[in-house]
Amino acid sequence: MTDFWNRLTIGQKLAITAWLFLSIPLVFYITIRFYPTFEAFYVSTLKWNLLGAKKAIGFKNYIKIFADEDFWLVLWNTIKYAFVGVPVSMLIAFVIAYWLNEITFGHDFIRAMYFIPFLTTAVAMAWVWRWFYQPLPIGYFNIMLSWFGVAQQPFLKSVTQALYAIMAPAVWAGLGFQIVIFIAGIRAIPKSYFEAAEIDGAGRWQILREITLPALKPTIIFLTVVSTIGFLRIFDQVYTMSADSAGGPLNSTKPLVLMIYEYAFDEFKLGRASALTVILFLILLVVSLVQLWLMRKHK
Amino acid sequence: MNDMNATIARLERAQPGKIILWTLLFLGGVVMITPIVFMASTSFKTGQEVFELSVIPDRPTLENYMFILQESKFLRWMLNSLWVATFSTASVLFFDSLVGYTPSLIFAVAR
Repeated sequence: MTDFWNRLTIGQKLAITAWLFLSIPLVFYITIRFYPTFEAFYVSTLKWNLLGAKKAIGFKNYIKIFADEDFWLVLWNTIKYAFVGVPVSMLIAFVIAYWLNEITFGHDFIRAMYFIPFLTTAVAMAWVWRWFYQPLPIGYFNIMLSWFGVAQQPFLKSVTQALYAIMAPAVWAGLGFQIVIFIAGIRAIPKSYFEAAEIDGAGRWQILREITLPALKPTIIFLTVVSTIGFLRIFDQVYTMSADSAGGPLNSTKPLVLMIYEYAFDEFKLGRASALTVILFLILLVVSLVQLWLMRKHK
Repeated sequence: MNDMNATIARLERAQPGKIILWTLLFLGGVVMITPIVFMASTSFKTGQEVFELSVIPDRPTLENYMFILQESKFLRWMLNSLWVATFSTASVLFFDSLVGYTPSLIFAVAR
């Protein structure tokens, strides 16, 4: 054995050591992460109620899902959460981070105030927000609207407003994380760039457009992808806050994950739920691949 | 005393623009923590007072905390959370450091 080891080149020894280190996490990932994922692919071709016999039905689950009007509504809701939630939260986060970076007095304290919501539990805070959306004698938002003479709004009980009312606490909770990442990104830009621009007589707006934003491109791509995946997987806030029934009123706030949950644990259609999971998985995969491609193009 | 003078000197040097900016950011931060303050203040209110919107309760009570500690299995739940947190942190530390160490090992020698 020692002979064998001694005859190896340094490169071979390194490779063996590296694979030895990697083998433990690999086994862990394959059994804990990959195996259940592939199991979901398999279950998505079954008709199964969790306890009874499994019946292979091929792609029927997918065909039924695509023929279901509710699925398209739910998919559209999920897209709205991501495509409205991400730009809005990123814009707010960038504006706050940009100005917060200029401040030295009490900087850490103010940054902490923005970051604290990120540490809270989504379910607990969703209950507080639900309270804020109440009608007039108790709801903060309706009280504030009444100061300006605006009529009372139904918020969570409205088919058009509920989705955005539920999106708000999700944006609120994620803002602190985005601000911290943005500030780190801004600070990582070499000071000399800004000094050179100032000497050349560039104004604040010009510096922002020509230096800060282009230099922040990797940060922006990273945050976009992480937040998009987060919003596509929204569940807690919807489950806790939606009126009438989970995802209500009239399914107007129901995202994909909630639909998966209902298929699996209310109706016990495990096959249908797994098929939906696979669809969500593919959407998330595409988002991640686009990110990798963008990052590589940037380099 | 020196600290105070330094603070005053700094305030005098500050431009009005900076002060307005600071105030706006501070107010934004207050808005951000409002839901959490609201939650904390409600936790000291009695059942009837919950519907009043005052930040500081008229008759603060520890009733709710007593209820949680005595009537529910709060400590058990806390222990469950602690258990999950400990093991997921330990597992991330163990497995991810193995994965993270490997490239650094190879690159260090390759250089």
